[in-house]
Amino acid sequence: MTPLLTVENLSVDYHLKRSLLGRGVTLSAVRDVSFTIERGRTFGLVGESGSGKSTIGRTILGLAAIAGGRVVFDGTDIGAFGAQLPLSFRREVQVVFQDPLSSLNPRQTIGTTIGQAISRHRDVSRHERQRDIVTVLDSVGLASYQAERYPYELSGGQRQRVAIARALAVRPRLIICDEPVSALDVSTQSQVINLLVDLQHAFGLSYLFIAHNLDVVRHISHTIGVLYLGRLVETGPAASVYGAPAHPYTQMLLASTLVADPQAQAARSRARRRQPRTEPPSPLNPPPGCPFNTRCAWAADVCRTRMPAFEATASQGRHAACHRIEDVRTAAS
Amino acid sequence: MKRLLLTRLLSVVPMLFFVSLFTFLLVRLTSTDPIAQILGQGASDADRAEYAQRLGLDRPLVDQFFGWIWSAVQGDLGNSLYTSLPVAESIADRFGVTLSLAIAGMLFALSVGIPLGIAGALRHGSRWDRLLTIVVSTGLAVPSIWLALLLSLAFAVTLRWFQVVGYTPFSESPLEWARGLVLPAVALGIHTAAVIARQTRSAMIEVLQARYIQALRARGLPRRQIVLRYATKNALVPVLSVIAIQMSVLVGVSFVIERIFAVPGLGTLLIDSVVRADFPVLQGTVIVVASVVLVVNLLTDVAYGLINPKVRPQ
Amino acid sequence: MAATITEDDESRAHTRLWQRLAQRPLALACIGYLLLLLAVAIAAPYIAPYDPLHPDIKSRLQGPGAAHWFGTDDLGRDTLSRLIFGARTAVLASLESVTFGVVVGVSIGLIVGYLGGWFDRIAMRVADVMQSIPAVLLALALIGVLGKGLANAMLAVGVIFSVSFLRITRAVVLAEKEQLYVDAARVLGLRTLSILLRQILPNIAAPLIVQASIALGTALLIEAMLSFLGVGIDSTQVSWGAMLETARQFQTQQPLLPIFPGLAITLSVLAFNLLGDTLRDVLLPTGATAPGNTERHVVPPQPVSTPPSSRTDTDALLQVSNLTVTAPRPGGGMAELLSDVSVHVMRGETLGLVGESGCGKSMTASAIMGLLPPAVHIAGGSIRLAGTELIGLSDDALRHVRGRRIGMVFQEPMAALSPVHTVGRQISDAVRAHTGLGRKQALARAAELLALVGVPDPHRRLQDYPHQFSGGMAQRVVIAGALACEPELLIADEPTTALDVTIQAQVLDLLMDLRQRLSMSVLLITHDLGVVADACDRVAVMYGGEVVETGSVRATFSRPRHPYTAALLAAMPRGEGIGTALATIPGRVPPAWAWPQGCRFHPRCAHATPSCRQAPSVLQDGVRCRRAGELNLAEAR
Repeated sequence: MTPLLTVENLSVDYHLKRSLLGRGVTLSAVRDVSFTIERGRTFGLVGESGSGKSTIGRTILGLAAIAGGRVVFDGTDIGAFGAQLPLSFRREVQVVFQDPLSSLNPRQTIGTTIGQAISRHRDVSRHERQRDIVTVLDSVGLASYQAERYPYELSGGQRQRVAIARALAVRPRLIICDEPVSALDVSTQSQVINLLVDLQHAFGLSYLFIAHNLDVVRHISHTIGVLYLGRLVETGPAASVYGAPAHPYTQMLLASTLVADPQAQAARSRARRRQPRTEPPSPLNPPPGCPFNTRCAWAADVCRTRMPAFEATASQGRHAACHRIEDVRTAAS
Repeated sequence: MKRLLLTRLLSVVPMLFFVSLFTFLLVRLTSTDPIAQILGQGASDADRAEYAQRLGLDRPLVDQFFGWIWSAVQGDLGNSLYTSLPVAESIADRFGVTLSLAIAGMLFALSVGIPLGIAGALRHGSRWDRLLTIVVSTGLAVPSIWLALLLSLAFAVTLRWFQVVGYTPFSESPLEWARGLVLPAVALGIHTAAVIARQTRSAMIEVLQARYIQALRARGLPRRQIVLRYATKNALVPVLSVIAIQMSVLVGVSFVIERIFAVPGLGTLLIDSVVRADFPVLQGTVIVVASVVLVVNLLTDVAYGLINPKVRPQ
Repeated sequence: MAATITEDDESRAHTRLWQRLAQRPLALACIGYLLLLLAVAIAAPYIAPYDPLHPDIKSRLQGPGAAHWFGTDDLGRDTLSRLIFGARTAVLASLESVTFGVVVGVSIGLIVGYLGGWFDRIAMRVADVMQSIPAVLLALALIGVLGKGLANAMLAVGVIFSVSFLRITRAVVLAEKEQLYVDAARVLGLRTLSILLRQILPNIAAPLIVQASIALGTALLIEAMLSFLGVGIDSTQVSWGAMLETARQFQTQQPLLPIFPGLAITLSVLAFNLLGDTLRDVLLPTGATAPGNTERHVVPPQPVSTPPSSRTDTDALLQVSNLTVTAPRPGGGMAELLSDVSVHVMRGETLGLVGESGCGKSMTASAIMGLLPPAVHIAGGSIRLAGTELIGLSDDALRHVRGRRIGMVFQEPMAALSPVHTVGRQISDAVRAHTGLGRKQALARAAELLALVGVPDPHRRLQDYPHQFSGGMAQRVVIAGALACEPELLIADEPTTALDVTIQAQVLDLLMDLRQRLSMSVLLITHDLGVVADACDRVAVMYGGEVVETGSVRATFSRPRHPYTAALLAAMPRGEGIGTALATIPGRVPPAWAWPQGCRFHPRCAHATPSCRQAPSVLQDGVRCRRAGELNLAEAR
């Protein structure tokens, strides 16, 4: 089965206007990223700020321009569409954004928002549309009377459910989840995450789940990709990447996460204090060679001059971009 | 900072060009025919053609435009169609007056508006603030011409503290010059003072609610220092753009106020040239005034860059 | 800072506009006046006592009298009648020019703002050129083009308005275009026109209405000026501005002439402006005008001498006892944001104050620092710092505590620093606020502090501005500012929430190192249990404005005693695979004005009994749950 989404060597640039005369500075937000998403599976994309994770999501959605490489959805190269993506594509790929408040039109009721989504893609009578709205609200756990409400009247968790409902209403196959739970409280986070998993089982949805929290990503993803300064440094099955990270950055990320277990955390704290303390470089000024070399305990001369290739590692289904991958693995085992 | 200054200066040049082009076209589209005005309705075609040639109005528009630009760069703005006096001279005579009026008005507005705005923000919600809002709203609503009339009536005609009409150049007597500017400056400046007060107040209120002000209080800084040093500088940023716009407004309104105080500024020159379709005078005046406005905008941008480091080119 | 329990601002957009306007007498007065003006304008021929154009030389320049209530002008024409017909001119002129300006300006602004690109660049160039010529001047030039007469004059003014409406519309469209809901609409595949009209336009209606109201006033003023100059109306029309010109010519002979036309103009413009201001307050409330923010001066209440709770430790550095904080509730009455909160921090320890949004943890910190927002009051309780009572102290006395004895670090580092002052200035000011050091010495100390918090190249960085620092570095700067005078207690309000994961760990390590080196205590406020596990010795869990459990971090995390604590621990993803569902807490956090009856957590509690609904639970032995003794929550994990 061909993957639902294939991203090949994708590069995306940001153009910043710096001086008043309009001379632009180009920022390379995403460089040479490749991964696939299978049908009915979740690919978790993890990275910190400046990693380019949101940019990848936006590019797949057609909100940002492709500077290099390809994005292939179900066999079709979306770069060939040009600026305006066709309605058929819009039906298949939808989005849930991070901020539930600003992602809903504040001056429309929930019902109107979802109704717009439905009418745009299906020719249905008013009665059928109403029924569809109720159905989709029900599938995200909201009562039908919520359709009359405005976004400000709902809580953060409820708004996020509405955003999910809006995405579901067009019956897509792939949903880009751009940090969907980062703005929510812990108790609400778990509700929304469970909902997303349930919906995946029920409708066979695929997700690109973008987040900065590795624990959350681990929970919901089948495959994980780790981004650093616009480059993919590691991919692989979720359990495998989480349990035995191959790339030094993934290791640093894991070591920096805080677990709610004081004893375990004390040991982790001691371990992480042994790591080098450095600031991440600015995306405007990426270091030469491997982008992580300025903060890597394993950095050698080759790392500072040559960009490592993203290639398969010894383990099953794992890829990483590191010159010293073998040494890292030996030290970890 | 120097780079900011340089880039802004450079961008003024194309702007001036476009303004000249715009003015030229606008003026030429005027429905009044200057030749008919000069010669009267009954003139013969031959006379009209001959006059047109003499005034250079028969050449193609493009030629006229570039010819005008070329001379303007060298300081020659042409001659009035009616008086044949050099436009540049007429403007130069009156330019200082208009500038004095506008600057005096702005100084008055700043010295009244900014303190009032800050005071209102600090007492936000109290009776004083409400009173201030009413005063400011009234200041915004009062027509400058009416104010000028009333001030003139009260202080010049009745109390005789100031001269009713006329203008004393600075070179003749600085004291009299300043004295003659008082009433016009107040008449002009009240509206602008109200605009500035209102903008300062709302900018200050917003700044005072900012997280960094709370952080400064958390560090135990004295309130006076927080307000004067930190809040004011941050609030100044949006106020600056208001000042730039108001300068342009002040120059415009000064043309009208001149009439009331019989001050020999650019206003009378301008109004006559509109009525008579005296192209060279109209073009020249608009260009000179627009240049002043562009310079003021430039100075504002520079000031903005001085205050707000984020804007400076890196 | 807005008081936290005001109704969501956007709710105002949806209660009827007319109802809200009706609540404000000023708005009603303005609308009344304007309707009167409109009525006068329409009915002018019927209500004017005389023909406004008919001269009567015998009665020239009379003051107010029986025959002519407002007097006559130089040609003996009745002033009152001329005022009435002048109203007609004023109304027509304003409406005509503003309508033109709105229609043209908004349409072009919408298109240009949304499409961007070349359209935008050309349009802005033209707008710049037109706005570099003063409006009066441009109006005169345009009148020269169009010809004289009122209609043309106001068309000229309309053109000028269209430029400013274009700017306003474009600015709002550009801002709205960045909003996520527009992106979502594009992703849904909605057509561009539909997005413009249905998504963006309704959201710009409010600022436009406000501007239009004010523009009506400006139009009136400009018309008056143009008619004053003689280039507005012609001789068959009447204008208040032209009346002023007459008044000018004859002011020595009849000084009362300017009064009435001037008053008419002023009142009308005032009405438009005040209406615009009221519309702005009603349609676009910001923090400054939202209700509840109008009170500025908080009277510090007397400290209530309640008996201290049983576990007071007189050695505690910070002792908060029975703290209750209230604020006005939207419908009237008061709501408790904090109820009977008691926590203490010993010397040299780190207390974690943990809870979700709305639980009151940040409010507790603000109360300790004496930085509560206006309208929020301390209703009872005591806050003691090393024995000194802080509640009831004057602002001046509190100033000596803030920064010197208690330092504070905030959530978003960039927001906690003034963007237009150098970092060196801000830190050295913090130093000089409490010591007598001179400028140079304070700067040297500031460099020391930057080095202490791990900012490389500190002397050079003193001259940098906040935006030149990355997030993590900026937070270090804020920490340096908080530590300027080596306080005994550091309050850190979500210090790492806005930072990246790898930087978060570094900043936490820094805080703990500093705590040790400076022998400080730390009150660490967070929603992240991982942070508590990593950095804190003891923890206090808050829910619904109350402390529900306190204890050592190890004990509480391994054997939670309150159902909420247990549920919070269970809900955190722990790196398990996709098969296991996460434990959740059903329901959501109630707002502060609607705490549930009885135990505040009971609607969401898996262990609630009927008695939990009836009576509030009391903090006993470090836990606020009547079933604490019977429940064994550790097993539920």
